[in-house]
Amino acid sequence: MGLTPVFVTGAAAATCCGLGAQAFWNHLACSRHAGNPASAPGVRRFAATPLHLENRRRLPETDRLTAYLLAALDYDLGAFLSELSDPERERVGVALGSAYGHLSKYLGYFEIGTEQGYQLVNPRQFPTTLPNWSSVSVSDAYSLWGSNTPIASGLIAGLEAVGYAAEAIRNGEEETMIAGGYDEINPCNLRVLETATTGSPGEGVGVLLLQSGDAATASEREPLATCGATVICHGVWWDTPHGARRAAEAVRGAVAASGLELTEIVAVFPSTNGGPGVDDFEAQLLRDVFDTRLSAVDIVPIKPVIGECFSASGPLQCIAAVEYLTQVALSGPPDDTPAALVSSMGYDGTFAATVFSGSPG
Amino acid sequence: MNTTERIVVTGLGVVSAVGTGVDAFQRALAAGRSGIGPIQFPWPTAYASLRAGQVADEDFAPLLPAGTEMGRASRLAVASTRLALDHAGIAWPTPRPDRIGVIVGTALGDASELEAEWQRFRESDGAAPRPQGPMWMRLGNLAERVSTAFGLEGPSHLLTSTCAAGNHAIAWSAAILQAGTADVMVAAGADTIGYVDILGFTRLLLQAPQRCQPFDRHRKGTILSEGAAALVLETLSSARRRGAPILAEVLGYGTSCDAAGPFASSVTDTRGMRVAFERALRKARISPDVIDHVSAHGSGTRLNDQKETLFLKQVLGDRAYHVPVSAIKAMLGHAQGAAALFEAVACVLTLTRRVMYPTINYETPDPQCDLDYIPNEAREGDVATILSNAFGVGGNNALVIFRRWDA
Repeated sequence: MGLTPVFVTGAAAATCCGLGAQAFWNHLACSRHAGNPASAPGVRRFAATPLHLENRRRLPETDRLTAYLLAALDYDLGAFLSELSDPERERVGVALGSAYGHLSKYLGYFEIGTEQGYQLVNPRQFPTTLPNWSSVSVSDAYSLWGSNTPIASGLIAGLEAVGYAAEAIRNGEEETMIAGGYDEINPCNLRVLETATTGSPGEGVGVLLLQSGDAATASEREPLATCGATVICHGVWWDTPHGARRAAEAVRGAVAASGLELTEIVAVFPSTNGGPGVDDFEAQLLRDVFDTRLSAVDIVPIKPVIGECFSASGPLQCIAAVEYLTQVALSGPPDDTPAALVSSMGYDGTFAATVFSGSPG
Repeated sequence: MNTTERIVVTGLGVVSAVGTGVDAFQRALAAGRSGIGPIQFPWPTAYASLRAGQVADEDFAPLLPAGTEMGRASRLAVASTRLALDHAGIAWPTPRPDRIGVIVGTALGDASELEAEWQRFRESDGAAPRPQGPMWMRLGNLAERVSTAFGLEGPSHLLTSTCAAGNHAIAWSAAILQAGTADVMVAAGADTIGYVDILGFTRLLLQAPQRCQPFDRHRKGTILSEGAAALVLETLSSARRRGAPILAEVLGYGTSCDAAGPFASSVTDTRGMRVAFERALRKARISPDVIDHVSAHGSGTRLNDQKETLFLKQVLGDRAYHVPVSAIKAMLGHAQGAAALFEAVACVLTLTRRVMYPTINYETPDPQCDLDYIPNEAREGDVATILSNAFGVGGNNALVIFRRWDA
C-alpha cells in the first residue's frame, strides 16, 4: 500500500453470536444467526453471556452496553491491554463510534427526573448519560492516557472511528488505537427501523486493535491485515444519481489512496441490511464500481447473521473482512495479498469506505 | 499527506448569549458584559431558581435556510457556520463541495427535542405521533445538518467529547487538512441546555446559583449556557489560492484522556492534561516559553479551577505567574460543546485586535489559584501565541495552540 502501513493486530466483538470475535466469525462462516429466541422475531440481541469482568470493579455503576463493550475488550484484548507499561499507555488511544450508545441512560435519567422528582436522580450516574461515557470508560478501565475520541455521526460512526484511528497512527499521534463501534437496541432505534422498513434490528460491539509497525513489533503481535485508507463523504442520498456518483468516488478514492487497484479487491463487506432502498443502492454501486469484474468478487453481507447493529456494523464488517483475508491468505499463494472493501451507509447522506489488505507474510 | 502544511483560520462565526457575530461578541467580551439570565424548565430542579446563558431566537433565526426542520442545537450550529463561511468569503453552494468538510463538537446535541419527543413517545404509549418523530430520537447529527445546509460534501463528523469537543473538532479538522483529505474544514461546536443537563449539574452541585466566578476563592460552580461557534480552517495553500485574509494559525493541538473515572481523578492528577500539552507542543514545534497568553477552561468549579492552575504551573514553570490567563465562561456561561469554540474565536480576536478578555466576577483571590487571571477588566497588549484549554466531563482533554499570523 502507498500509505504508511497501519496493521490490524487484534479484534474484539460481542454480538448475538456470543462474546469474542471468533464466535462472531464462526457464526458468519456457517451463515447462521443466533437471535435471542426470547426477543421479538428477527431481533438480534446480545447473547446472554455472563460478564465476569475484572475491570468492572472500577466501574460498578456502568450500564449494559458499556458492560458488553468492556467485556468484549477484556475477552479478546484484555491480556494485551493489561500488560502495557505506563509509558506505553500514554501512546494508546481510543476512538469509538455510536449512534445511540448513551440514550437508554439519558432517557432513564430524564424519566426519573420528570416522573419521580429531581431528588431521586443519582448524581453519580450523570456521567453515564453523556455520549462519551462508554468511550472514556475504556480509557479508564485500562488507564489509557492517549487520545479519546467519541463519535456520534449516526450509522457510519464506527467506520469513521476506524478511519480516524488509522490516520492518528499515520500522523504519529498514536502508536496503538482501539477503534470501533457499539450500539444496542432501544425503543428509539426500533422505531427508526420500523419507519425505514429495514431488516432485523441488532446490537453489537466491534473493535479493531490497530498498531504502527513499530508498536506491533514491540508488542510481538502478529499483523492480521493492513488497514488502508478510509474515505468519508457527505451527499450520498440513496435515491439520487448524484449520491450514487459520490459513493462510487468514495470507494474508488479509498482503493486508490490505499495504493491498490480495484482488481485487487477480492471481497466486499457491504452495508446492506435488508432494506430495499439501501440494498438496491449498494447493489448498483458495486455494479458501477466493479463493472464486469463483479462476478469475481465475493459479496459478504453480515447483517443477515447479526442484524443491523448501527454503529457497530461497520467495525464488525471490518472484523469479517480481516478474518476473510486471513483465510484467503492461508489457502492462496504465499506472495498473494488480496484486499477487501468495507462500506458503511448512514441515513443522513453520509457514506464511508475502507480498504483492508492481507498482511504481507 | 503533508504534515508540514500550515493550517490557518480564515473565518469566524459566533452565536452566543452575549451577541451574534464577531463584532458584537468582541464588544461584549471587551466590556466584560455577562450574558447570564434567568431560565425556566417545565420540571422542578434542585434549585429554586436557575440562571443560564441563552440566545434569543431572533438573534439567529434570520441566518437559517428556510423550510428545514432541525433541532435547536443544529440550528445554532448552522447559523454560526453561515457566519463563519461568510466571514471567510466562501460562497455556497461552492464549486468544490467535496473539498470542504465539517466537524461539529457537542455534548448533548439536540437534547431538548430528544426529551420532548421521548415525552410524546411515552404519552402515546409507544406510537410515534409524528412522521418526523424518530428523527429526533437520538443525539441529532449536527454535522450532517451543517453539511446539508451548505451543500458541503467533504468529511462530516459529529464529536461528542463533551466540554472538550470544540477543541477536539479543531484538532481533527487540522489533521484532516494536513492529511490532504480536504482543503477547507468548518470546525464548529454547538449545545443547548437539556433537562438532564440541568438535573446532573444541579444534583452534583456543579451549577452555581447566581454567577460563574472562575478562579475566585468563593466560586460556587459553573453556569450552563447555549450557543454555537465555528472556525473556517484551511490549508495555507488553499487560503492563498483564494486570496483569503488570514486571521491566525493553528500551530498545534493535542488530545488525551484522564483515564481516572468520573469521580476518581484527584486535584493533583494532571497527567492526562500534561500528555495533551506535550502533544500540542510537539505538533507546534515550540517550547513552553513561547506561550504568552492562556485561554483557560476556567469553568468556575472548585476542583477544576484548582487543577487547571496546578497544571499551568507544572507546564509553564515560574513563567506561569507572568502569563495572563483569561476565563470567558464567566461572561458566556459554559456552553459545553460550543465552549472551546467560543474560546477559540476569542483567541483569534485577541491575536488580531490586541485585547485580552477579562475574567469577570473575580473578587477574592484564592491561595490555590494564584495566577494572573485578568480580573474584571480587559487588557490591551500584543499577544503572539495562545494556549487554549478544554477539559471535558469524563476526562476528555483537548488543547489547541494559536499563533498570530504575522508573528
